[in-house]
Amino acid sequence: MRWLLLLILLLLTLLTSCATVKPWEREGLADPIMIIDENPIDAGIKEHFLDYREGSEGATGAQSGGCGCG
Amino acid sequence: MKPGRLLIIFLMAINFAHAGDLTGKAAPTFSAKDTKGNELSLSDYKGKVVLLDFWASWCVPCREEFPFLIRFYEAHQKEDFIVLAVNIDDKEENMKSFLSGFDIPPLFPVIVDREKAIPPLYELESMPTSIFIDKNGIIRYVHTGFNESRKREFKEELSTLLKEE
Repeated sequence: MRWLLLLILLLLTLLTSCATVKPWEREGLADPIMIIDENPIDAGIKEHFLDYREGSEGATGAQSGGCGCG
Repeated sequence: MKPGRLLIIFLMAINFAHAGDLTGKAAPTFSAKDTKGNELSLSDYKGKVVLLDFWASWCVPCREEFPFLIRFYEAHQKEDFIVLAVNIDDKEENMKSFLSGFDIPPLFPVIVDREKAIPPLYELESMPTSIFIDKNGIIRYVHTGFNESRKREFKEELSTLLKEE
């Protein structure tokens, strides 16, 4: 039974559907249109409010610039 | 150790497998055309220190790095040094638009790689990636991303490599 469980685990690992997008294939993902955002004006006001409240800024965008750290 | 635990460790090792470090290995050779239509090959530059830089106009750190590369090459162009900037933009007009923003165009070749055949050879992990190749064609330093401290590192590494035979 334990081996069967491990075998299923192995198959699940090998059949994973997650694919890594190579750094040189990220042009589409780096497009500003890929930012999950509401109204940009509204988002700007919200970001300004957060900056003021937290005393820090940045790290609010999820768009990847392609550097691999976004 | 029980076989089950070993299997789990093996599975984790597969998932976290990482691309090997290219430092110390021979630089994979390639041939491609530059923006002027000239056919270039990496082997043409044997005997020179090569800074192979992978960039794209959509990559924000690349846009920050490129003006530095232009100035860096201008300062060292009389030495045994060349920058080969490999552009991987899907659309040529995006690359041209970016390059047209400079008063002085890059004095080094900008290689056009629309097919994206060169990046897999160097197992790129992020953009930009800058690779120093020594005079004997060996990969010596690999940098990913770009920041202020990178400028000093480039200068130091180039100085080291230029002193070598």
